[in-house]
Amino acid sequence: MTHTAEGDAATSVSSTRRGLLGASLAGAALSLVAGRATSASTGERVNAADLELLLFAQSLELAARDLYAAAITAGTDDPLFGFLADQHEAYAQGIASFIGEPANARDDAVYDELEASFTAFDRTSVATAGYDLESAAVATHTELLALLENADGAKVIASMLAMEARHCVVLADMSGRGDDLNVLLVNTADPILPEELS
Amino acid sequence: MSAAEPRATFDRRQLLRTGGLTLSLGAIIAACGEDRAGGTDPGRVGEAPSVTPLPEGTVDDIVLLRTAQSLEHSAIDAYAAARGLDVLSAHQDAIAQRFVDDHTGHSVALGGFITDAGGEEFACANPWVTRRVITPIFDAIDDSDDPLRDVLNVAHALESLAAASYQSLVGSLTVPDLRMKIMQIGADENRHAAALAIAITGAPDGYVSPLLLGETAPEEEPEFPALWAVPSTFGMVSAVELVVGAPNEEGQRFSIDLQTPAANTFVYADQSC
Repeated sequence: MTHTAEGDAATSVSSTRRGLLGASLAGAALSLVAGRATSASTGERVNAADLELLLFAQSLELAARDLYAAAITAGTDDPLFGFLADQHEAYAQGIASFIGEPANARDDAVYDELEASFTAFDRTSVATAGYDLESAAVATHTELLALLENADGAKVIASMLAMEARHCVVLADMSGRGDDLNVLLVNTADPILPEELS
Repeated sequence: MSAAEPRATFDRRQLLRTGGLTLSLGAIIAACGEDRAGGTDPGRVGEAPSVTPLPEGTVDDIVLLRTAQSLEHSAIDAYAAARGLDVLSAHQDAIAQRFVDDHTGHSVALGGFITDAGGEEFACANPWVTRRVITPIFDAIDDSDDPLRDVLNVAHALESLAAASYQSLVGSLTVPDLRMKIMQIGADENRHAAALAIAITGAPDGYVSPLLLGETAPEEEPEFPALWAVPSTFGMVSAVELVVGAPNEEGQRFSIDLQTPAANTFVYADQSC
């Protein structure tokens, strides 16, 4: 992410995720799930480490969905924000269908950190917050590709990443920065990753 | 035949009978033979030189990376051809130069990935794409009724093709780190395509496909493919449709589907610039 506040957000996420992922009970549950998650395309089994990564990506997508929904609830009712909420819901469901687990665990740390910037009551501010969030999502998913061993899981993430990169361009234009080629074309955001993975 | 001449030993009927017997015996002997040597190639007639078989086209990570690098150069060449038409405004030309710089940077990065993987980089345009895609497109634009429209649509199509190509390579590359590096570039190409879609279609109409916003598709197919920054929910790897040039006598314009890399577009190990 580009701004200091967002850098702090990444730190905040790290500590929260560490606590979650460090729990042995959760680890055991993930292992059980990993035992039955199998790629539909290649039949390649999704191992426990990959499953952890995909569940993390899913929780980030649900946080993004809820942030756009919060903007609409707060009164910034642009159809584009509703559309972006739907996009992220679809990504969470896409991962859910791949791993065979429901999409129901939002990353609260990310949501809590960014909620204020999405409920600013004006379209430009929300578009700017959305641009930063989408940029971080692209950076995060790019990083996940280097960690995921399952090729089909990587394909799912890549197909989300591709559109999130395009979301950035739309939001750059919506936030009045459509003439700035660096904002349009360059992603300077840092990934949001659990500390164990960063 | 006169009575003085000796009687022929075989008449035609006997000849045929004997020939048939010989063939039958030959077939039996052939069927019973063992340890027969000889090639399995099809029979050859005359003195034609023997055929040198083509090398096996192994597709590995290096071939995929070389193909990606060649596509970057195809894009660079296409931008050179487009700018040579002198239809872009100064602002548009500056953006085109920025895209060329990005593609050049991508090629350099890919060259590094290739050499790190033990391969030889391929820093020139994809021969198949040049012959079957780029050349026909610019031939069609030569007599266009609106070369600027066509140049912008070509740029969008090639950026979309590049974006789809990188995404498609993710499933083929075997090393996760390479998948990550490839999609870093793929994200750039997606941004290029999205920026061009907004520039061509305009804002806000060019932001998102109306179908994704719950609207219905127009009853009549548009003459040129409609372009949006976000055309779908997930990134697509299907063909990119491009229409350019002036209508012919039947009112049809040149149309081509740009496909992501496949066997005929791969840059194999034995190919060099």
